[in-house]
Amino acid sequence: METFRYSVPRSVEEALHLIKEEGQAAKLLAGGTDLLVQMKEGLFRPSLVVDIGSLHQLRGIRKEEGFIWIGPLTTHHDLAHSALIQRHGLALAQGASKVGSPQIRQRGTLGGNIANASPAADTLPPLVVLEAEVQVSSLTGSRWVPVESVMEGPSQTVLRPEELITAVRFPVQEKGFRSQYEKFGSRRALSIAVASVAAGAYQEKGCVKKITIALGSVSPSIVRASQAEELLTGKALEQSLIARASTSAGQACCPLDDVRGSIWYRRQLVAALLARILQSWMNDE
Amino acid sequence: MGQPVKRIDARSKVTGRARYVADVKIQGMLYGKMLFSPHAHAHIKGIDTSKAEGLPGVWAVITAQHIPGENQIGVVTPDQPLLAQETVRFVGDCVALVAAESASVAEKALGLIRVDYQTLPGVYTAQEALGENSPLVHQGGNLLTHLKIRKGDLKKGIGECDILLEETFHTQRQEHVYIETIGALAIPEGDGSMTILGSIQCPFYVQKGVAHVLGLPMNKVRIVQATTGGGFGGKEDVPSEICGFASLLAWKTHRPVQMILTREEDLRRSSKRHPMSVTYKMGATKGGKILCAQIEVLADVGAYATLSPVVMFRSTVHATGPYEIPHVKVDTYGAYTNNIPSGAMRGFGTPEVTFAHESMVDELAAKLNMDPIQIRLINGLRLGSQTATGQVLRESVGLEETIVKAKEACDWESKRAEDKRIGPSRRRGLGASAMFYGVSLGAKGWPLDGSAAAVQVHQDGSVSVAIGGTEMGQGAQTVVAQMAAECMGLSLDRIAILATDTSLVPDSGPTVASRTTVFSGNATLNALEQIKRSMTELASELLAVAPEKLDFRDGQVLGGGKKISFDQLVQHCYSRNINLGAEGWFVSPPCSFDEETGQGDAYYVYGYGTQIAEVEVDLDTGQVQVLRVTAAHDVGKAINPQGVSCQIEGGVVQGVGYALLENFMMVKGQIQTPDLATYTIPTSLDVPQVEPIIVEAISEKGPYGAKGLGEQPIIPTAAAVANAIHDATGIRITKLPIGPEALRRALLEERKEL
Ligand SMILES: Cc1cc2nc3c(=O)[nH]c(=O)nc-3n(C[C@H](O)[C@H](O)[C@H](O)COP(=O)(O)OP(=O)(O)OC[C@H]3O[C@@H](n4cnc5c(N)ncnc54)[C@H](O)[C@@H]3O)c2cc1C
Repeated sequence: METFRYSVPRSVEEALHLIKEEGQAAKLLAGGTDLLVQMKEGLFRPSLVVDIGSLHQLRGIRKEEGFIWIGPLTTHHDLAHSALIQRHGLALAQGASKVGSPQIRQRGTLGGNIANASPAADTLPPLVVLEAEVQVSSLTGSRWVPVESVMEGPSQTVLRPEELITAVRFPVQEKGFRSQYEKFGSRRALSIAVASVAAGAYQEKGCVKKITIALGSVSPSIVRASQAEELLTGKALEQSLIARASTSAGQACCPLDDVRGSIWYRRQLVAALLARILQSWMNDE
Repeated sequence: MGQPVKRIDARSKVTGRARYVADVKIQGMLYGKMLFSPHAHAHIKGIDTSKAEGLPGVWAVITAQHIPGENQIGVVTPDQPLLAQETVRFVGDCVALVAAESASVAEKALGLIRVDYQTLPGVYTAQEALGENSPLVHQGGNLLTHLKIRKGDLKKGIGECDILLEETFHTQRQEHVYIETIGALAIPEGDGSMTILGSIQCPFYVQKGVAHVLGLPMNKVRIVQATTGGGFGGKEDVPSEICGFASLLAWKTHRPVQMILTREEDLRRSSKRHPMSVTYKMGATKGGKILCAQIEVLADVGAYATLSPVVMFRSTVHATGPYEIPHVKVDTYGAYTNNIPSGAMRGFGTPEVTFAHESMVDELAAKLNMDPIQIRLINGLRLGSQTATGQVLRESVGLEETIVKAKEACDWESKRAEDKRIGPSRRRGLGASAMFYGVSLGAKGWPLDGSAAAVQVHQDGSVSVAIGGTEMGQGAQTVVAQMAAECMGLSLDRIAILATDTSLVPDSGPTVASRTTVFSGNATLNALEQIKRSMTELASELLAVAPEKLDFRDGQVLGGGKKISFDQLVQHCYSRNINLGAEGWFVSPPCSFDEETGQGDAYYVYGYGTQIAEVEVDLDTGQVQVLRVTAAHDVGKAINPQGVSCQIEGGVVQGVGYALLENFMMVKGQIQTPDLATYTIPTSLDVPQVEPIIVEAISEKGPYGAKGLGEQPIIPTAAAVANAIHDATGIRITKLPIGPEALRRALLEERKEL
């Protein structure tokens, strides 16, 4: 690893100043579970590392004005164990609980997972179906960006070098909403998803009123299975519908073909995972 | 002895106090790094090291031309230069070494070395390698070994069969993933000699290799084994290369040089388990008696021979599995390619063929509508049986007992009869697999098959034992200490086992082939018996009791109603200048193998085992979860039953990885799985419940009746898992690892009614 300067700002403001001044050559450090690996591999050679890990105001989970507010430094462990998240955004708790291993979940953060922008990130499909937004701040102010628009491709986001994620929020959904996340990896822990599916839906008397389906690890970005969403909207869940929707979701991916799995297999997986979610909802009715 | 004991090295390892080579830092030490070839096959036209040499903090840059001795490190076949000179033959070949004041300066220096390559066409599979007009990896041709067995009359056997099956199986390259990567610290001594501390399995190989490369006599090279975090065969010959690198740099700079491989470097340089294609033709009568086996094995040896000739010997001898088959024809071939060398790994050529023969035996059983346990009992080796090499088994054959015990423990009959469906898309299945494994080096390694121990009883009655076999996590020191304690009638805490050091014990051969309990154990007993004889003589005089009546027990020497404490007797010995030091030696019983017919007593004794795996298959994704493995192994006397159980558990886990997950992939000679994020092994959550069962068919030649165990437990696991998948789904997978994608595809293709 190359040498670099290291600073620990005491306020968000100070952090923003530091990254503004250093520009491209600065890197934010949260849990470090992505960044340190990338620096060791020489993918990044920052001249300044800004450790935001001690900015406690960027940590925590609250219910506030119709939203669930999450600080970007909240760890996967905390997300997975939060009663608020489990109640209002189960898929996110499930996604966080499937990240890496206990050690990684203790260090890795939500903000890091979003900013790192991996197509296999386990919180991204859940955040999409929860209609989450990301607060992006710089010295000139802040803006809310829908999570779907944050990621532009593998390791690519709309974030500019002088910007910091300062919050993530999603609306507290009305009664009848549920969400679920399913991940498939080659082993039961420490496994990068071969494919993952999150779904969030309103159901009323067994009928799907509205549904969002987001697929992870099957294309350069998180993608929606729009056709499957359409197929399911307004209908009651039953076997043949589930089968059709699942197959259609498989087609929605414009998938990666790599060591972890072929295009063909990823389609199979997406169908299997979506069917698993829908089946469990049907059985609950 | 025979009771479970806590390992004598447990505390130091658990508390982090054990000293691994990376923990040792000495004054003036430099850091060594190596420059890999980016190409799988290329000519080296020139190397320019001037820029690297000019970098501040760099003390030496070495290429092949600087080597003072012979640039040759091949352990069995002299085909491997330590540093590539004219040609690179795989992407782990090294062309230059750097020693610098820090690892990062050394790393930077590597980036400044300019190597001019001219790439050459390569061969990347064993099939390709043996094709006509294929590029040659070595001048002598790509075929490295061909071994054969000819027994009985194959034609006649085939004629008498009611059923004849044929199938080809493929196995993959597997990496050891020892927890500690290979490392070495070379210290140039004032007298021109070299001391090396390292993470190594076979110090005597390293001593010979380093002496050769440095052009020093062997008495100027001393190897001390540091605490070693796992080996599994991966630290058999490769540490000679790494220690060779470090000592070259130390020789050049006159400073100590430490070289600790990163995981990525280790994966790129260290040898792997052989990928093999194995074709079986096996026939049986209606009654299930296997009459013939025609077997062809083709292995990818990689760029250098390393231990392949001996690995292939094991594949040959064990090709028919633990069965008595009258008509056998075996041909095993090993071919050079431009892939990473295949070498020693736990099981040493046996898990590959076991996957094949155990799948075949299950297929025969299925076709004959016979219980898989039944067919194994009908054909299994027993006392008096003749193996494929014509060896008549006269002692210690515990196979049948392992089959029966494993079957009973897992409730075979009722589980096989149960409904396989446990949900709309989940199926369960149960599969069995049996194995045998020749203990120690056998006919091909007999000249190396002697072992020494040096024992001292100190003035206070404590005992030090220096053995030639190494501790690498397998528990060798504990069992040797237990045997020494038993022999001297002392408690375990009176025995200390010293780290293996080539200056303490004569060459004891390699620590491989599940041979340490037997060989270091017997050598230690041999030394202790000499000391006991002297002590008994004096005790007899002091107590006025005939020597044959005296016994060493509970810290005393007693007999004829009289006794003296062990420690007192030791003091008497010292006051009379009686030598209480001795060297012990043990040599393998004779073995033989005829190159033309493959007939002979290939190994002096065999271990046996049976495993039964229970799996659950997710039909939608093709994912397999191994729920439980019942593993019965005949180890002769279990000196430390706790250690035996742990070895069984570890072997099964590594076997599950081999069955389902692990695959060191190469495409056109380039590594596709360069790190542990891409080369995946089972995590604690992927590990099944393992139920070890110890079977003790006593071996006369073993210390207290012990045989070896280290490797056996990995051997049958993959086949047991494959057979269980077949039981669950009706699908026969012939290629390892059984990844979910392949299984899902097979499930769809066969469109089985599930
Ligand atoms: C062994 C291992 C296993 C893993 N397994 C998984 C897995 O199963 N699933 C999964 O999704 N991920 C996995 N990861 C990846 C990683 O743990 C997650 O992406 C984690 O959420 C990253 O968070 P972090 O706080 O560690 O990020 P860091 O490494 O600190 O940062 C990652 C990136 O985000 C930027 N960043 C961090 N915080 C902010 C912020 N507030 N504003 C703007 N930019 C920011 C950093 O500059 C950096 O570029 C694994 C990693 C390892 C090492």
